[in-house]
Amino acid sequence: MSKPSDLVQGTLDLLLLKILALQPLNGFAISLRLKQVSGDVLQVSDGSLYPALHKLEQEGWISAEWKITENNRRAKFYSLTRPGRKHLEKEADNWGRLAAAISHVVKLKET
Amino acid sequence: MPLRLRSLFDRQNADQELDEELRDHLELKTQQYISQGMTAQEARRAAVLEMGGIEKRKEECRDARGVHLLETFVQDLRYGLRMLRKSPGFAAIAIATLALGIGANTAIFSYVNAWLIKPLPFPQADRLMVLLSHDTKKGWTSNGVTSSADYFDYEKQNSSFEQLVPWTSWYFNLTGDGPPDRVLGGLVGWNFFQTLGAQPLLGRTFLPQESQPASSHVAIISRGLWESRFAADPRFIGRVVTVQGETYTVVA
Repeated sequence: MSKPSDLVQGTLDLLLLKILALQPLNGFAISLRLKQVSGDVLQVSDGSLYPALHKLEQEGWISAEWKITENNRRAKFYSLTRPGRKHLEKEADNWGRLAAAISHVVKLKET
Repeated sequence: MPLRLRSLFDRQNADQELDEELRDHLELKTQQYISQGMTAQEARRAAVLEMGGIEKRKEECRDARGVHLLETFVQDLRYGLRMLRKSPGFAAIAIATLALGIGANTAIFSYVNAWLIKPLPFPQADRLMVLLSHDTKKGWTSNGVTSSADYFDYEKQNSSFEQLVPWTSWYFNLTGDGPPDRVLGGLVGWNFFQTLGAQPLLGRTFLPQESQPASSHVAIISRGLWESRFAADPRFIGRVVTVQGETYTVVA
């Protein structure tokens, strides 16, 4: 498996929220999905995943529910809350501006 | 932003759920690796390694919530203060009411504590009793006076108490040896301190013969008086004080 790129806490939060915006999932599925949709570029380590999820839950941006999966097992599913959605939009905007700024600086012509 | 309350009972549940959540992840990861071709053992090992220490991860999750709790608490506190500042009238009334309530409670409690709750500073305080004579004609609210003769009779006929001590408290005039002063004191039988179980810091308690009429007048002074009037002179024992115009020798 390729080495995961370092994700800053804020960015990780943003990604997790977005993944959950697409669909409620449990922790394992979230990290899998993120890997999938980013073409294996973005991988969150198991060690960072759960503390991040728990923090998001504490903030009230995601909520958790224990449900029975298809395999008849109990799993903790996270889903995005209304305040979470608002926060996601805000963070997505910020990220857009940040990314654009960084791109711009990096693309500056060197003399 | 409402204050978020956390039930204490939730904690145990939360810990169990956290454990289940992380172990589930390990299971799923192991399955994934097996489906990718690893042996069960290799898969398990890889999954466990990637998780790192499960206890540590649990700790981190708890921290993520814990630190957060503190932050939210501080945030809520600041929010509360902001709201109070916006309505100073309300804040003033609330604070005044609290202050009055707390003040009144403290005052009453101190009183009740000193008078009713705190045990007397004597050994076996629950065995100390005060006996009062009471004038049946005047009703139970008046304290009569027990005459010395009465006291001697009680003493002779006493079979219920270990010791009986006559005593009365009085304000005395203290003259000589300094500016005239009015002190709260007592006229007591010789075994007063003995009955109470109190020992003087310096000196001795009274002797039986000193209770006899026409014996030399002796006095025991309080520490406070010793410090204020006698400047805590260690040679104060044997000095003479003039009380109500009569001389008394200090013995303690």
